[in-house]
Amino acid sequence: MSDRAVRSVAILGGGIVGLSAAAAFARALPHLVVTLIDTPPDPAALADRLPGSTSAIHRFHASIELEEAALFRAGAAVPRLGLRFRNWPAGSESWFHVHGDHGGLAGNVAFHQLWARARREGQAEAWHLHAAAGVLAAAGRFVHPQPSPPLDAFDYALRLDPPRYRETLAALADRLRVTRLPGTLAAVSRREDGGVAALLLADGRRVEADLYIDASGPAAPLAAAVSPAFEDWSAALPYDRVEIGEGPPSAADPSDTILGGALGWQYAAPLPGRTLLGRIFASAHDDTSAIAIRPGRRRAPWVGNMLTLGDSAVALDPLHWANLHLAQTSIARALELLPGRDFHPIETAEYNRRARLEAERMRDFQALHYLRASADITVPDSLARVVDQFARRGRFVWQDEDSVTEDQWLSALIGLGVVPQATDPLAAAMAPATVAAGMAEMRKALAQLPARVPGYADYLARSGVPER
Amino acid sequence: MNQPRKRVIVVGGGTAGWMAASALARLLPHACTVELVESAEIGIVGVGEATLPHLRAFIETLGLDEAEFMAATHATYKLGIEFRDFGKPGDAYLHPFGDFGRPLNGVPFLHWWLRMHALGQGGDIGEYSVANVMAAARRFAPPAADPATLLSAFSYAYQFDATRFGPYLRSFAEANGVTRTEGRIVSVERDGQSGDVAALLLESGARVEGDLFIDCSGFRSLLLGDALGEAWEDWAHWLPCDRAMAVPCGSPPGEIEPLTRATAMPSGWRWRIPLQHRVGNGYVYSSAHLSDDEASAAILGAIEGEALADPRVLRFRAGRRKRSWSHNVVAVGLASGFLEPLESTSIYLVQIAIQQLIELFPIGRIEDADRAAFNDQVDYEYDRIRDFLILHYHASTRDDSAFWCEVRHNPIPDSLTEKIELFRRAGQIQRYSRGLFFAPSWIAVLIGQGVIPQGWDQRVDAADPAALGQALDRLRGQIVRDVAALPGHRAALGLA
Repeated sequence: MSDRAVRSVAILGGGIVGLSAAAAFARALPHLVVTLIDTPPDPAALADRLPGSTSAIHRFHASIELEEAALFRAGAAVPRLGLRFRNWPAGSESWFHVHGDHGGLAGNVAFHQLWARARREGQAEAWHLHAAAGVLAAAGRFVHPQPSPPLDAFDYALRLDPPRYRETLAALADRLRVTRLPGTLAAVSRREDGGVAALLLADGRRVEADLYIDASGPAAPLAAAVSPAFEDWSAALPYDRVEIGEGPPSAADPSDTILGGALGWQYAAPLPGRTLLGRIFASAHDDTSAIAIRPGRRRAPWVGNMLTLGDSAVALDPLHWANLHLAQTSIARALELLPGRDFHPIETAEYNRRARLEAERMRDFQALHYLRASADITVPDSLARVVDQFARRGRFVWQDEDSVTEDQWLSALIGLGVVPQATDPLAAAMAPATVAAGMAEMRKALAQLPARVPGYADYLARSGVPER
Repeated sequence: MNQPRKRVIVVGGGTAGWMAASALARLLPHACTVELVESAEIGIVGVGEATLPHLRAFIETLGLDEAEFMAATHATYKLGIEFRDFGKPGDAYLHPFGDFGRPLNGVPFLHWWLRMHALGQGGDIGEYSVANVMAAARRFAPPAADPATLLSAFSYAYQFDATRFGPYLRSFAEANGVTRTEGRIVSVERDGQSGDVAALLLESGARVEGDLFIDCSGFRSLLLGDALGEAWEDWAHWLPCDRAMAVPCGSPPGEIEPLTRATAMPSGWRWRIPLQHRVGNGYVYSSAHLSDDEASAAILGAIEGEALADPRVLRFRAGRRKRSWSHNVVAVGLASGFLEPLESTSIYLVQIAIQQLIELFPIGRIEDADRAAFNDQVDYEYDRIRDFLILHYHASTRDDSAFWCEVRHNPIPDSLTEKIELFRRAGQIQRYSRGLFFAPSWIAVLIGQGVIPQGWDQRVDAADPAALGQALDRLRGQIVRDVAALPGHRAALGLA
């Protein structure tokens, strides 16, 4: 072991984010002493409580060697293909946001350019019907991606049962020699240079480590003490209240339903035996004891020997299940860039740079949905450029460190009604008749998929997902 | 839809001009007509005998035949750039077009190598690069298609006779409908209201009107610089070389090296670019430190074969126009800016400008947002390349000439300081998703010039050094065996 290596880490927060960090650090660094302070759950820690993930979760699970099949059998997760957007924008037909390729290769020309031209001429079906995942989602069917086309170019996410998923992670953390200490934080002991010297627990225990991670939720007593500066995004993201609940079972469905509305939106994520529900709205309409959120991000998630993860690092509403997604990509980034034990600012700055770019892009992705729902928001310049370029000419504006894939951006832009108004000059060189024939052939192949693929409920039963 | 086609006027018939005309005519036939105005009396610079792998995509996108293109330009294959004497006299390393090793357990190869290197084992990092081993053996075959094989982990570029590339593209462009107008431009007429360029007036009295003007006039920057007066951002304080003395010589007997060589010289550096029929040479120097005559004598003394022409001097300055696209003028190539050819980036910058122009080609009127997006992309590329070039001068311990003492102590951009420090401490490379010079390039130059990280990814600490050493030995051995089975460079080119 090199003499710069971090020898120990203390993680504050016993929810999904804290346990994810504990498992990932323990798995990646076998010499590391990992202590997790199993604080009582914070109801406002959305990343610990929501059922959603993105397709990026597979990479995270691979890194901690958590098998998907085991999650299915434990009833901790089921596969999810997409999000069914209803009434978003208001009055629109429902559409599916799915992961993976839409359309096929067309030489130098992006497929969406050809689709947009056909669409303007009334010759093209909905965008999601040009993706294998979209066709399966619309038909209520599921299969894992296969080696050969057209089932090789799509992806899926997981719908989680948060308490059971947490239990699975806790069991994994225990197997990986993570020490879990039930307790609550009473005080933070600081060094003269501002670094963290120890965490003092309410029962008098003192926990010392080289690195401290605050994964305890938005209140984040440790992060608030060490890195208080917060960037407020409430001008771009209109909702600051979330209500989480549970309802009676609904039909098995590979998609979550997202229902738009004038005063906010709702989600329904069906699990065997029950449906997880949520309502997202603005405090002006608050008549309940809903969870309050303050959209924004901590300016410096990593300062010295303190790193914060989850809702304390980036606070967003649940749209597109950004909360756990960002927490897990952040854990991977922290391991990739883990600084030496002196936590030199040059090293933490690279983590913070990448974290900022990723978070801002996710903010823009969410804000795009509110912009198209006619919410009263201030559109960030970076998002205005994305919308302008796409609306005028179908050009996709990329950004470094975007963890939303281009496919997801296109699916959202088009689903939300931002259809390119003009054909890109490069696409104009392709003859419409040739394109129409190619698209017809593609749709035909995709339309045959549902008959070859099991129904979603069957697939769950075959995978050993318990009834409840 | 069915907008009238834009009249595109390309000014200048050098490499940039014919590349721009070819691409626009071929790829946007419904969006524009292309007329190229050039004067046979004005010579071309013929930059970029050495290229980067991206040029292959340009050739392929236009539907050109690679073998035909290579034959027409007397091209050879290029696996990277060898830098000699940069870090200190006697050093040599290759900046390869390819990866070093492959990730193990999701951790980049560099870190496994650093761990062994700290134990005095593992050898030179170049031994883990297929491109390095192939270049040293003077062998070549295109990358294997199967990404699982070692022989897929590299790329290649061309070294060609740039004076033949333009004429080669000209016949292609004309076959695709580009019209060529011969004549010297005597004045540029601008629209009184918009300030746009309205027409070019030629010596013959002819008037050439257009909607969009592509300035490929080289260093003169006839439209963007002269007519529109776009401001110049000067980088000479970072990159002081401002002359090149170029001279071709005959090829030495034997196998052709599939690489470009850059050798540090007392007042700059010199290039050596082997083509099929000759070798291109040139001394890039700072005129504050060396006279043209001294440079001429130095390059003639350094070349390995008989000089095929008198040395020719080129004058330039490092920097770029603030904006490459202003009004209805888009500058491509030297008219937009200049960075010395240390990393063979000239033709790449031409290509990027053309690619962005195609991506942002006006639909209807020219939008400010499209111009801004174009200029942002050009800045993104230029700034990145600038930092990378400065690194070659900064990461040096040479103190054997006034030039080197000066350049290695010059202040550097903050963005570069951060990159070097991050690498020095942790072996990390700032990540970006597009453009030039990803991690392997930075690793090659930093390590090649003696910046060895003190730390590495801590996930490699748990590995058993003996087992890791064996794994690295197997990898090196496999690369040597795989490369030994490949043909020599001449044979790969179909030469005797």
